[in-house]
Amino acid sequence: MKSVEDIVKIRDRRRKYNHLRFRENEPLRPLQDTEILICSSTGCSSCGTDKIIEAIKSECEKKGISNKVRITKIGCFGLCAMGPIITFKPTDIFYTKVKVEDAERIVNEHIINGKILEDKIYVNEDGTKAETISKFNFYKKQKFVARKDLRLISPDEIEDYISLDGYMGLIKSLSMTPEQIIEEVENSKLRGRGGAGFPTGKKWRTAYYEKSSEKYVICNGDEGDPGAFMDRTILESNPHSILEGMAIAGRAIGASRGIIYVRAEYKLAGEKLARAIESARKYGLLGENILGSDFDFDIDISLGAGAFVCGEETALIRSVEGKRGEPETKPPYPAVSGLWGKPTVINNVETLTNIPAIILNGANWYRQFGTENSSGTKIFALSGKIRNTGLIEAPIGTTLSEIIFDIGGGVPNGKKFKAVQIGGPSGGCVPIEHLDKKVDYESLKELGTMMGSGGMIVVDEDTCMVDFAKFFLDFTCDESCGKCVPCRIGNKRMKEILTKICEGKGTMADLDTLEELAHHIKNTSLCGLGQSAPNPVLSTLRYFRKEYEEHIKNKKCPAGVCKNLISYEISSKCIGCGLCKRGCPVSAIKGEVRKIHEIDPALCIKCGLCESKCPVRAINKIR
Amino acid sequence: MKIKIDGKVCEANEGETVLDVATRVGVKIPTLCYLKKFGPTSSCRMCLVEVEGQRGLVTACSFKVKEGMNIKTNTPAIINARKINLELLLSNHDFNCTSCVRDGSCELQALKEEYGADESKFAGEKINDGLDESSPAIVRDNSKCILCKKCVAVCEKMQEIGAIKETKRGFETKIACAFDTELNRSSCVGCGQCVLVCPTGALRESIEIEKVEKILSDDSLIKVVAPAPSVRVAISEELGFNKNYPQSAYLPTLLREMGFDKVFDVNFGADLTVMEEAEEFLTRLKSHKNLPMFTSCCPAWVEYAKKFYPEILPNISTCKSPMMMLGAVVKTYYAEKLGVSPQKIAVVAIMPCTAKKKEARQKNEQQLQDVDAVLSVREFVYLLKKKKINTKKLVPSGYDSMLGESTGAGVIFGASGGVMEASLRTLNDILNGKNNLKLDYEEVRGLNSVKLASVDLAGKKVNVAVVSGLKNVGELIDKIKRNEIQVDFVEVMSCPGGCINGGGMPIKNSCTQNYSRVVEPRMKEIYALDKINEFRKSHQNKEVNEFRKWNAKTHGTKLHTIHGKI
Repeated sequence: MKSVEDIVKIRDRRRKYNHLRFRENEPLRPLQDTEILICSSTGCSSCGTDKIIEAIKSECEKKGISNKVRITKIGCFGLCAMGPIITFKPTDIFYTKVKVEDAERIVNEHIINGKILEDKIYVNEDGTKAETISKFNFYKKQKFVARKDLRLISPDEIEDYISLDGYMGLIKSLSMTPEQIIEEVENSKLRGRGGAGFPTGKKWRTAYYEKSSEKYVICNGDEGDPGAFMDRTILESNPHSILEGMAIAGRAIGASRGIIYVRAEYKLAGEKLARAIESARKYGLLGENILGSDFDFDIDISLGAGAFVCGEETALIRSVEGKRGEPETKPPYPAVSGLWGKPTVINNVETLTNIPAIILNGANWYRQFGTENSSGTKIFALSGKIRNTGLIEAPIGTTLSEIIFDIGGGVPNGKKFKAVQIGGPSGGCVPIEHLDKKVDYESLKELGTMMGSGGMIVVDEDTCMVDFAKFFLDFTCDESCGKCVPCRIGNKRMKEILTKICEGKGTMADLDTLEELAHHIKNTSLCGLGQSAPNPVLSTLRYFRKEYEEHIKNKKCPAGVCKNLISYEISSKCIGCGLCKRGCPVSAIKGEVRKIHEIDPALCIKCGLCESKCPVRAINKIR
Repeated sequence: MKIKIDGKVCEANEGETVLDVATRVGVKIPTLCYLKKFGPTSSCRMCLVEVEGQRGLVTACSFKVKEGMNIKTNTPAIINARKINLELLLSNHDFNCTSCVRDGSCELQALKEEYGADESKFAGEKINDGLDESSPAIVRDNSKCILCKKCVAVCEKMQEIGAIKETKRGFETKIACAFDTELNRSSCVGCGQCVLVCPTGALRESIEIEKVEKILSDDSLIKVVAPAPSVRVAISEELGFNKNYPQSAYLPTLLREMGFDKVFDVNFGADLTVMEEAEEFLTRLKSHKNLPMFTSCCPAWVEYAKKFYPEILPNISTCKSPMMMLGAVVKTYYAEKLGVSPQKIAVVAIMPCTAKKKEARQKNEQQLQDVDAVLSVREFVYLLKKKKINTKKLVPSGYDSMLGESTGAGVIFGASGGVMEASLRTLNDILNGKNNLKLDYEEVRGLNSVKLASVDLAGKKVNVAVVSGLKNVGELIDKIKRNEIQVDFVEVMSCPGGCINGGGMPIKNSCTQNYSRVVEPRMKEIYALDKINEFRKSHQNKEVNEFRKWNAKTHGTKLHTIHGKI
């Protein structure tokens, strides 16, 4: 058991001891020793960070400099496309795409000889080299609140977190009344980051007013949108911020138990959380009489089996209770009757990670970021046809073009931007003409999409929007729990119609049916999954209706994706090399050596292999 | 508080849902998945209504009323939303309605007609999970299932069996047994309560109509029929007779009209059961062995004991059920009296039950079935309608002699508590050596699921318990095992309220399935029939006594069986 004073002492001591680490806005002190910070989040570690660490360690041993070099696994840098990432302290040099084979050069050339490995340096989209973070265009327009500690601390070291004012929010909340805490959160205008954007303070107040001897705080870590992984990295990189946020929530509503619902596939996140909970208990930051106060709060982990629908709060509660993960009708809302029928606050991971900073720095500080109605920052997961795939954090209200082009680096390979799908399968797409729009809850809704979890999938000219809508509908059909009629059967029927259109068998009447069904499902489904499932269809119909009509009326797929609507042809440029013939998996290509080859359309499965094999670009896709 | 429904001001109470109030004031809101006792699931989306100030449509089954609320139940938008939902349901439904047992009583069909829903509007892939006909009691047909999950609710919460549950998800969601095994290999006991709540033909009894028709058309057979006690208090719900006589009076006539040669009565079997069971109980009471004794008339209960409490099997009476006793008597005693081979006699029982269908499959020593076919009340009514028998012009008639006599004690077998009361009447008389003692044991009657009583039998205090509904049965057994209650004799019925609420009884609108509203009138009628009987004690049944004399001499009929483990 530690006291408030103990924790403050730890912070101050660690700050000094932490002299190797770089802190924002603090001048670095030149040192002779080197610290290597290496990202240990899933993206980088799946590319072998552990092996890289081993290799560097053994190389250091060989050279006898082990005592001069410290290697620390830290959290996510966000630039996942460039992983594994390592940085050096105190020089701040930033290496990307590091491999095990680079270990020897890193030790010999970089550490011992002080020479920068030019090939490991990131190049901005404008061609300039970024040796240190400050030179990255990627980081320039970002603002870190939720992710501020991620690339500075080790998720396994509670004192690392404490050294950066960790748990100071909780300490402050212990001297506040629940009313004051809730007021602070309300004033911060923080809105739920899980999707719907419900005001967090209002949720807490509802649960606070409920009279019950038992209340619960649940952290929703059932992140399931394709292409979204911000919660995962927070859980992996900074688990203590979640624990602190939950404890503050517990203090505010009068709960003494918290549950973190995290999907079992997030193995690393689960491990980091378990370790964090254990050390928080050891430091008296969780458990009975936290830091000697009268406040008890402890946290358990509940592993989810991976159903997307369990991200819906009522389905999540059922899943925690050990039942089939199916949503229930609201009202009653969980804040009134949730887990085991008790008042329960369910907040998303990203929401909770904002809480400690809001309490510590105050609502006004938090409101300086973002817009009037949506304050703070939001983490977005950039993926698809975008240069800087990864996680970014920007103030709410940043424009789409800033996010996609200035931070994301735009569309690679000289292709043209076509649209961005925001909010995963529940969101909608936004075409190029709306790139000047601000990203906030209201504007996105007007555009026919939603903030959702903050996933952004960028597509270029080679994407068929009908096929794209079908992809997301495929996902929601798979992930629908099957409880209510509109979602269970309606989405299936929509998917069937889209398949028909993609196969060139659609009729114009199908478009009417599609729209009728989409609106019906949106209006009458039981939960958020069903209510938002038709969004990809509705938004593509809104912005790319012509593409649908092209499929139906002219039996053409302008993007050249729908296989039934394209064909391949060999032009007179053919030199008869036979490469295409040998590569064809269904032997659809005939021709003699040095003579022009031919494709049998009846056999061709339009896989496109021949096109990629042809050395003289004689094979063309006919759209 | 006051709320407005479709412009009309109505009185409402705190805690009521929109559906509660609407139903009370007579505003019809359609539902398919709602089962009052088990709360709303809001999955069928048929009860959508508009509440002023609420975004979109809300489900009436779950939405609680508030002072001054303004509700609309029939705007064009609501009607259209319901219609599309129906059309979606129909698009995934096997709508070969004319060949379905629920044709005419199907709730989906009724709503389709009411809303003019087009079953082919959203035509597409249908879930085809095949038919599960493995169980001799109940058939599951997922191609007709609309996933209202009322069956799951009654199986899991009311009976605490949990034989079926939804599996998979999305469009693939279906109701299945654990590990997708067959119903016959699951924990299902065949009580058929799920059938009573199924709005479509997805759950039904295993149909034996063809079998019975074959029997009826076979001239070489002596066709014997016997209806169960509770059948006679439910047939008019489906058929409607002229009200000159109680509906039960027309039953033998109907059976003869259908072409049966002899109309016997399961009530005879019931009286016989009382005699056998009373003797058995007295023996156990004397020897203090295998007490408390549980009744054995209910085959779903015996199956339940085999599956969930095998250790209690020795405590269950070895008596065959009334139906099986009667069947055995027909194939031995009656066959001998008639001088024909038992193979030449076909016995058909009309039962309120689905589990009886499985029970009847048990073979006797000659490897024959004592009861050749079992019809549920619904199948019986279906056959009558098929034969176009004019129910308005029927004349009452009685049961055939030799195995047709019954007492009031036999008829009350139909209601929970009846078996116990019948036994007590006889036990009290036997032990006191008199014939005119107590008739009415009010303490074991009524709608309560568990009834405990302490009865004085010739100076000896006997504790009895009457329990119905398998959830309550399980709880009672647990209490007995923990010595929390002391009982000597327990009557068990699987279906809440007894056979009058059996899984083979006529189906009321499954959404408004209301225990007291369905069971209470049937129960009243059962006790009324008891009262008008000249004899109300089983030992006063002359035909039973005559048979028992014969059986004591010849041991020709086996009336007991051993409930072996599975």
